[in-house]
Amino acid sequence: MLNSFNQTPFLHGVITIGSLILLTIGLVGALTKKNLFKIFLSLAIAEASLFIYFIGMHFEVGKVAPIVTDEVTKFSLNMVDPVPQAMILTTIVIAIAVLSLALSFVINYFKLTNNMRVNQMDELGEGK
Amino acid sequence: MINIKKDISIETLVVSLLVSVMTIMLISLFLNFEVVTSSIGTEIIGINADTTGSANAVTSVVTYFRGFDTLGEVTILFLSIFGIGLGLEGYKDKLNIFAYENQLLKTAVDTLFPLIILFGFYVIIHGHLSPGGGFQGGVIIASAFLLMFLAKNDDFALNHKIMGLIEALSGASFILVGLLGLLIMNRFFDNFLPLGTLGDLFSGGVIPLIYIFVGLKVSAEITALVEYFVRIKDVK
Amino acid sequence: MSTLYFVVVPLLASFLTPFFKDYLRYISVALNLVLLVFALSFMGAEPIREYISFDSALSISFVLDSASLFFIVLFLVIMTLFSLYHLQEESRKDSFILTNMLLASVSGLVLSGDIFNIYIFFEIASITAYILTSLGKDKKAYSGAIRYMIIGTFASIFLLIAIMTIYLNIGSLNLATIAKEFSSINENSQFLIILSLFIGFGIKAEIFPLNFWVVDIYQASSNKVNALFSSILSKAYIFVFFHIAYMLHVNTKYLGFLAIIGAISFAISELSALSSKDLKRVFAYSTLGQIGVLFIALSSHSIDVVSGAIFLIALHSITKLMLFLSLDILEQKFKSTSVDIFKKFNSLFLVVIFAIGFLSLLGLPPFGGFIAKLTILKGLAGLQEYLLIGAILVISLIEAVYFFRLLGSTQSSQTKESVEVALLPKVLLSIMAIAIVYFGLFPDALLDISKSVATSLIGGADV
Repeated sequence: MLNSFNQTPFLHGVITIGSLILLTIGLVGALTKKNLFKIFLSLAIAEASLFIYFIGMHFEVGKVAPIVTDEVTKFSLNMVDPVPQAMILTTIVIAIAVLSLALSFVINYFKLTNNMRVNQMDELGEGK
Repeated sequence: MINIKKDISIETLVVSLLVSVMTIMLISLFLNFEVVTSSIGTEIIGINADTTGSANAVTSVVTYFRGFDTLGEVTILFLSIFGIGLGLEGYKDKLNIFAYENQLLKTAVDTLFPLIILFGFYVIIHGHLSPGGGFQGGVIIASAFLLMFLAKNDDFALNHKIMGLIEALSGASFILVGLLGLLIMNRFFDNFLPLGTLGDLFSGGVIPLIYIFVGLKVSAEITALVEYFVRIKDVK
Repeated sequence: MSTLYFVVVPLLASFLTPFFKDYLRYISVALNLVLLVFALSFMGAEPIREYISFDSALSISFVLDSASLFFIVLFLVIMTLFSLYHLQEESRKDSFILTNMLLASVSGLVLSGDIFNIYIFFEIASITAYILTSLGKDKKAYSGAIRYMIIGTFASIFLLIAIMTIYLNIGSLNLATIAKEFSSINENSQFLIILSLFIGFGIKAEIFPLNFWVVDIYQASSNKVNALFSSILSKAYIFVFFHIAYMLHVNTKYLGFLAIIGAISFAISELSALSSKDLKRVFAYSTLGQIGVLFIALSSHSIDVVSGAIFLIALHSITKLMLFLSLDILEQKFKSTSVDIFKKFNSLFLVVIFAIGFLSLLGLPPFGGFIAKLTILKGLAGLQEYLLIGAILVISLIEAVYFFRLLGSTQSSQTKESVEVALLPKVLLSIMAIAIVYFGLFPDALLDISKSVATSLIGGADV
């Protein structure tokens, strides 16, 4: 019975709905939360949802990884597309770099002002 | 009975509503289209064996066909570590924020540290033969250093001169490999080393070389990143 | 001769920084001059399309046509002037690395013909901008940098959505292939791609309604950083926005929408500048206003108006560089950037520089800004867009109010302190001022170049 779940359209549907729910959680969190850490964490969740979506949509049941090993001895069309994987590898590293830079800014800002809430960041504006 | 009552502001509700509407529209859009079957990826799989001699198609895409993106990514890591280092000044005088006195951890780390580093180098060097590569191996090596920070507290410190030197030289070597390709074969990142047979360690032309430089650079940078975030406790 | 040297040489220089600690400012000047000469050697040549590592659409392509060459020459000229200005200070490792990375990333943005590669350079430029904002290391700098990063990550997310939808529907990342196949995919996917690209690039190109964050960032950064942002970074993002929009053959309704929000952006920015009391913010609002005019002009799909926009881009970059560097001199003397410092300084040279800058931004003869606005308005009249002409003229009047108010306050009778301008800044600022006047009196060479740039920008899908 479980084999009926092992079909490509069902998998694609689950991945689409799941990653879009995560994207919603991430975007809502980034727009409404007030704690700086929570905002960046929500943005990280939103980016992660996009990664899952992109890789998941390129998978089809019955395909194998694009690596030649002892069992899979030739490159054939039965392999998963390697370009999205390369793109997501790059994008994950970019997301890590940006997130760590953001965290270091938050740490430095907190040391100077003792404030972690976005709506109390009032150093910039007219007349300051 | 615990009485939990949380105030949810109007703004949160409005934003959630708008984003949910957007999501439902996106879902209906995405569920109704099919992924295109022939893309540049399928063509690359077809020509991979002859053009690059690397057994791992993802590696050949990352380093060869889209090598410039990898260069950009390495640059981004370099820039963000540099940016973090600019802000956290005086980190040499600060203490480790962990304060574990765990004897089990201390004894285990002495054995595990070289093994994890060896495994990391294995993953880096075999990037064109099995899943893995420069980024993956670099992060493994950085996790070994994180283990040392957790175990040894303030007794373990990195030599930043060597770190800086490794970063600078491996980054410059990566670009030099590309420039050599430009000068010798008239195209950036072109293959100027022999391709070898598929599945051998010394195959794949310039790909293992690129991944070794990338692996060294990533490991140096993420180790520096870990140390920046661990040594932030002020000396009292 | 490869076009990749524009990107690779600054990257290599910034990686090798630890080896040349004391000579960095000289290397900076030398590097920019060499690249400028190299860029000028491509003038008049045929468009070049260069692939890395494999000769087909499977790998990344770089395209050098007259549009990208113009922008590369413009950025290299600004960077050369900027690095010459810094010869008077000590060699600093951080400014060397950051300016070179900025140069490499904007060159890559302009040259690249592959959409994921554009995303990578977009991220490099963004991270450089975040670090540049935080260089002041005080509360304002970090506050501005954190806000910038939140908004910038939003832009990245939407850009990623666009790239993923493009790849899932078309299967290629090469801009020429995408341009060919774009009209044959699902209508809803087309709408999603255009919308995500608008939000993603529009946040960085600083157009209404996505530019509410810009003025605070200008207030948080130092004046030299603001010069780089205003002259180089915003122009590169605007170029990418319109380059991709024209390559995807967007329909005229979208271009009309861009013109309208350009006009709204111009209006709101100039009205806000009237009531601002901080000079950094006034200049930032002025930049946003000019970007609004650029959007009106660049979205008109006609060679005459777009060539006026290109002329305006060149003039505006030089003018803002001059204005922000002069403001930096004033700030170092008075330690504040409030509007009142204009009443306090006594230097005929600086008053002349500010006057030339303001009058050129307003579009008065005999300065270069006049030719730019005239070309745009003449072209719009040819398209019979009288509403837009009226909007630009009316809002320019508002601009005139606060610029003349500022100039008038320099003649106030308060006790003044005299400001000594050193020789090197004096020479550089004079060169920029003379250039503005020269392009106002002899605009024909630059106008011809702008026409060819406009032709290749609008008809960009042919290369």
